[in-house]
Amino acid sequence: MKYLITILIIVAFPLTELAAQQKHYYGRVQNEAGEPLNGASLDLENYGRTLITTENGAFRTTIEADSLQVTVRMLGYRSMISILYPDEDMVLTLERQDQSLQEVEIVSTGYETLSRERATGSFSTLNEEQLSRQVSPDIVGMMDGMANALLFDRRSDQYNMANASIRGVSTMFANSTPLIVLDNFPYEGDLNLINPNTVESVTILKDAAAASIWGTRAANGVIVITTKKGKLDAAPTLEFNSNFTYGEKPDIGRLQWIGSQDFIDVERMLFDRGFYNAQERNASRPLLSPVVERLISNREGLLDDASLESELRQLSSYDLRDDFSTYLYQPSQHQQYSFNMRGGSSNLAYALSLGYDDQTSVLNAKSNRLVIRTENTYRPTKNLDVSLGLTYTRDRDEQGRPPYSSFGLASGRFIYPYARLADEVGNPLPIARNYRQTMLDEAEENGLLDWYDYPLREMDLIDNVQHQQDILLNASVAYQLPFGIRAQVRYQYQQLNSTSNDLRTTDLWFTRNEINRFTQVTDGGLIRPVPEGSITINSNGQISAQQFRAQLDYNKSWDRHQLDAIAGFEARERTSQNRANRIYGFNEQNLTLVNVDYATLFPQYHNQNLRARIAPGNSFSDLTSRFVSYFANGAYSFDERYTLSASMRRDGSNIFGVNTNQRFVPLWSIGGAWSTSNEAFYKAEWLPYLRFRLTYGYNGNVDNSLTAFTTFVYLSNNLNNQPYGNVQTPPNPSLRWEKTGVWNLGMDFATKGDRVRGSIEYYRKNGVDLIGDAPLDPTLGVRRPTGESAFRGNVASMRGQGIDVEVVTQNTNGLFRWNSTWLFSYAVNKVTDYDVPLANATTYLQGGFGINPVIGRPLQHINAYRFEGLDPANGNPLGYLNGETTDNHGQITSQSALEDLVYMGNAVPPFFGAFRNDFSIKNWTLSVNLTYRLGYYYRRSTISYGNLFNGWRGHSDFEQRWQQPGDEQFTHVPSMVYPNVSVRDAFYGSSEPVVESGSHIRLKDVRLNYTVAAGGIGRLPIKQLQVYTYANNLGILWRKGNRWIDPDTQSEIPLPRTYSLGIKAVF
Amino acid sequence: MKYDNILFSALLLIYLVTAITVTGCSERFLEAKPDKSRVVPETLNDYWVLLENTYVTNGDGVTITEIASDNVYVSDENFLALGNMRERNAYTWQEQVLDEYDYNDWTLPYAAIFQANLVIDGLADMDRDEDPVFYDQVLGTAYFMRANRFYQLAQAFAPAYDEGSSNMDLGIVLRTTSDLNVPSARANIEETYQQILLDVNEALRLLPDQTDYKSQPTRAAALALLARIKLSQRQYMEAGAFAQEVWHLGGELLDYNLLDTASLGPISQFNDEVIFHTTGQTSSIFNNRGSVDTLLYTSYSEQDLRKSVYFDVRGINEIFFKGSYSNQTPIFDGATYAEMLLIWAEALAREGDAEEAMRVLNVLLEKRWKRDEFQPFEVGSATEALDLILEHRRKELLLRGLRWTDIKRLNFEDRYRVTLSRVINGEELTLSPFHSRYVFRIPEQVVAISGIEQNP
Repeated sequence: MKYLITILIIVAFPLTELAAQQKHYYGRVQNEAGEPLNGASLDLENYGRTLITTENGAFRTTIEADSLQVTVRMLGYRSMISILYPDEDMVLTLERQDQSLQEVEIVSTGYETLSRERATGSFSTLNEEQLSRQVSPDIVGMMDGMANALLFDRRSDQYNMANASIRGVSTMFANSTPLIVLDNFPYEGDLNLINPNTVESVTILKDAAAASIWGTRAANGVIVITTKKGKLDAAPTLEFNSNFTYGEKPDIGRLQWIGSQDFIDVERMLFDRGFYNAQERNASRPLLSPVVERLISNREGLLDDASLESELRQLSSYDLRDDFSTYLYQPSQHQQYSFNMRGGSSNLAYALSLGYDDQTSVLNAKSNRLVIRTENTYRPTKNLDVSLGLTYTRDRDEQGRPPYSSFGLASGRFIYPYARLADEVGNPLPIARNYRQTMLDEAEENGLLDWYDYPLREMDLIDNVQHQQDILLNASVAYQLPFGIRAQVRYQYQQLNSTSNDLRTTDLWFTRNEINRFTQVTDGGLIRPVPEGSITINSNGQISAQQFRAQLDYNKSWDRHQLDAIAGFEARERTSQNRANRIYGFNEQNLTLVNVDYATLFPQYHNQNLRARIAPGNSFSDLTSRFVSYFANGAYSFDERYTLSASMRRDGSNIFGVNTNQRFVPLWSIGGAWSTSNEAFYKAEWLPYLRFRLTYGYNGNVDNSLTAFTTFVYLSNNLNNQPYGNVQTPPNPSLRWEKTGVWNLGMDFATKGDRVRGSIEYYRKNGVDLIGDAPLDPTLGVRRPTGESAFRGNVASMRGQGIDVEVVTQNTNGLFRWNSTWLFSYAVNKVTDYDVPLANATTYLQGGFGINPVIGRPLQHINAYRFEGLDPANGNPLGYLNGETTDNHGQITSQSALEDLVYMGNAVPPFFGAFRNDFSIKNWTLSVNLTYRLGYYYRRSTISYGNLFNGWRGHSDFEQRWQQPGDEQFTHVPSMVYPNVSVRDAFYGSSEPVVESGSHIRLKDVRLNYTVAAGGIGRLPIKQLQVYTYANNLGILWRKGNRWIDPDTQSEIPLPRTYSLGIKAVF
Repeated sequence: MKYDNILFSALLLIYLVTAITVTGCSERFLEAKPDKSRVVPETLNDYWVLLENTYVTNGDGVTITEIASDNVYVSDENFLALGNMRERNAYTWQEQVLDEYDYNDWTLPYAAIFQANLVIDGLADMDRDEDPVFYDQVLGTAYFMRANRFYQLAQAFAPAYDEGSSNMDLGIVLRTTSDLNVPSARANIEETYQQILLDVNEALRLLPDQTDYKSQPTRAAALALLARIKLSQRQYMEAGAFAQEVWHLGGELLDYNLLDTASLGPISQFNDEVIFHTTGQTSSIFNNRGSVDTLLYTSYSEQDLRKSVYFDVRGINEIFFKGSYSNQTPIFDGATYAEMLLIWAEALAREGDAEEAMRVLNVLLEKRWKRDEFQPFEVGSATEALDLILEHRRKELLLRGLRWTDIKRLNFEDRYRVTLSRVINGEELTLSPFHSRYVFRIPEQVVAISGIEQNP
């Protein structure tokens, strides 16, 4: 591997030539207004030198050449190539560059690059400058808030492409992730493995004309990532970029927990009512909290009243959030280094990049990534291009500490709020888990391993490391034929290997618990079916993908006509294999292990009546997906005024039954564009650029988990330890692709001098044959693997529409420059067909996460029970059913129909966008990005007395609860009742008062740049040197709903702010 | 240029060859299995493993009937602490019992029935001659599983079988196809029992005498199920004949003298007395919240080993059952040879043959009594014999999912009729014979979606 890279580097360096004779060159650089430009750079292409203009825009050099080709560059201006002649006062005038739309005039679909002027479809582009404005370890962080129509749903705590949507969601249950194309082929690996500094541009394909060339994977939109490549006859450019990011510690103290004192009071109340009696006598000796244990001791006469009170007082003074904040969480750090080199000679273009990232998370998870990438194009003869690219990625992730949310002490139980991780001087404290303290102590006396958990000591002893290695190999051959035909064959091979080794020594509670619970105490000593020693859990996986494409391009222009067309076919295969195993009694010193008996049911220490098998933890999986596609695409333009485009594609895959593959379901699009401003009659001087576009077509989508046949999975270990089958999908012979028809109407415009430039688009989406759930009659006996009685098929339709606006304004020019970028998106959808009888109201109260389509409503929406206040007599929450106010929560929850619920609104923002301002004065630039999301709702958490009593999960709303008549005037939190009524909790938790508006405006990030005048740094051959700072997640400026919760993450803990400092140098 | 032309030709050739090959092979290329562990059932073994899904076919049986019966009582404190509405509502004979969760006593048995129907429909397209023995076992097992679940459902969701009204009384939904387009409809009781008997008789014809595990049905299991069904229909002679046949096929009893009475799980799973192994759903009432009826407990003789094998006494109102034949927390509702002896004896007593009835009963009791203290029981009349047999039926078959059916059928007889009662928070609840709460209501959600008729 290293050897190969060395060769590539050697091959890639160009040979430079030298000439003789000293000549003087001088002049100055100015802008259109004639103002001198200070700090502009002049690249002497063939001499590897760069000049920087001084105060009055002047430059001067002496060199041995008869003439000199220079590239003049300055930030905010269009680069210019110019020829200088000796002893002549050259005046070079740079044109101001507008920041966005016009700059990328080429859009890439992954199959071809199109001139934006001739494209009919809807594209958004992000260029290198826009992308690198953000400091992020991955490409996702560079796109968020920068592109139109692109929305990241961060509710699931996952910040990745899987939660991205373009122009809203287009599917219900099928794959909803936009297709990611890296250069030419769909990227099958982990997007986090791409070095973001190698990305030159990102193109987002939004409508059918843009995306339908991707056929059955296009319905969610396509994101095409283009990497930096070398160019023939280009001087070598070296770029170095490095930054350091510091992230604040998450503010754990903001978690809305019940206070320790309140929690203890509740436990005492429950104890007095006999709530714990059965648990106390339970043969399995389940865990009781320290307060309950003390109350029992007191009842048994082992602890006197005074001591009890003082001990409880002591406990009530503890707050676990303090310990989490002190011991568990820390500030995050991220370092990034990136090096890029590219250029080209007359027959070789090369690009080489190295990237290294090193991160430590707030939970001390450490990861680092090294990416080496090279891409070279060789042109042996005039018409032939041969390209070879290789990317090698190595990634290492170490698991960090467990997050606070994983501190549950027993199944279904969280941790009591007065728990402590450490004593006053910071020594780790034991915490009983799963079983009662008395049992844990007794076990230790019997010679078992220490059964207590010491979270503080153990959290840094986790030894779980994942390694990933990814190799991506591209090869292509393109040949230019006569008559404007170009033939090309491309092939890509990708192999991603990942291994994960999780060594759990007996220092970890997990391992001690596994050993102890199987241990049998006999007269002859201890018998340990799970042997003493470490447990090691290993898995390795391999993904390999091969993609092949053959394509003919045709480009021809004659008179006022221009025709561009492509046609071809491709085949893709992706296989992934995984295997996992678990080894007991592992000795990591000498690599020995102990074989265990997986078949026998062993009695469990805590209850001899219970028997269990040792968990085998061995598993295999082997998945293959294959596609074959045929495609064609063409565009014809006349006189730079009219453009017509059409595309067609057919896909086959191994997922569906043969019937569907044989049925020809083409996905197609047509489009037209009219450059109005190019018409002879067009006279509006104030609006020199005006263009209209209209397209229509179909994009497809697929749900990989469905097939047309009855399928089941083979699973291991039934009651008899034999393999058994579990039905996965019921028969569905009519299964087919989802199709989304898209209309797109667009207008592009620019005012005089590009003071205002932008585009406005309106679209309609019409999804048919969508995969939907039909809540089946449970009597049919069909269950999805997740348990619900349901059936999936092409049962649904959905309609969406929206508006995308992108406007760039140049507010001031001259010394102080101020540009604004307005991104506005409106995206809504509505279910139009769902062949399912309406279910009970509870189905439609899932907080907007679960998808339960209702005709006429947005796909993800929030409903609530009508809330009629609290009963002044007893603090019961009052609802409404059959025309009257009632506190019969059982009836409300079981008999309410959908129409009895209050429709609160959309669960995803219909309005969103960003407002970015870029200011620059001299060498300083400042960029501030505000993002907004408006018009949506979410359901926040609140007190559930059932969760409090049984699950130890309280909520600070407890303090607001109704306690005496009159309280209903100022609170809607119901009173506490015993026994708890679960339907009462369910009613209040899904009622109107706990639904919040999500509308907010956020100061997403700020970047400040200082460009050092390169001439100032001695003789270093630096063309440009930039120092930058960047701050992200700065906070919410305005919000309509609850002040405590971030509506995007729906977390009480705000996204930690991060601060970056970086340097970028171009040689 | 010549060089160019050669390259061009070579490229075009590669292009054309690949184009043709890809087009030609794409059909085969696309036939690859997407997921190796995911299978479209094709072979006998594929269908067999569907029936080996013991969690569906042998577990999660109807359990609300046992909760609503009179074997176990729950103290006020524990009743309030019951987290599961289904258990609380079934225990107090509420109208609404099953509406809280998707997994319940209606949906779980039907999931097993769907698996069985997939197998029965799938096997119809297969050639039996390739492996007739295995084919018969797979098909027979499917019929058996279906019959067993139909029977369990009928006990909970339909009234007791009564010849006089069996054509009018509503039965259950008889799903006998895996075709999801066939709507659900309720049959009457007569049709329900006809279908169940049809299925068991098919199973009886097809099943082998021996299987590898107790979870796999045998001919004896089919006969035992027939005996149970006939007993619930109060067709005692036939029930007795089937039970006798099972016993003579090789009945065995556990000798309780050999069990470790101190153990919290003295009876092992799959022991020799088990004919067929199935279990109900886990329930906190049977786990630790409920106590066995004190009167029932005290009625066991001191010489009766069941008193120490079955019960773990921790205090007043804290008599926990530990005699499950599954050795696990969900109740065992499979069949044992002891049950067969009791059915046989009951049939004999009802025919008036007190002597023979007592002989059969004593075969059982000898294995339950302390070895040196057992004296065969003797009675003066057939009625006394029946009294004694029914008493021991209750004592032997405690928490087996059988009591509800027994109460329902015995309520037809004045002598054995009972009114159930419980006291919760000082309030007395009663359930009189033939009360509509003896028939559980179907989950409202099911009724709403399928439009089937609800029970009163």
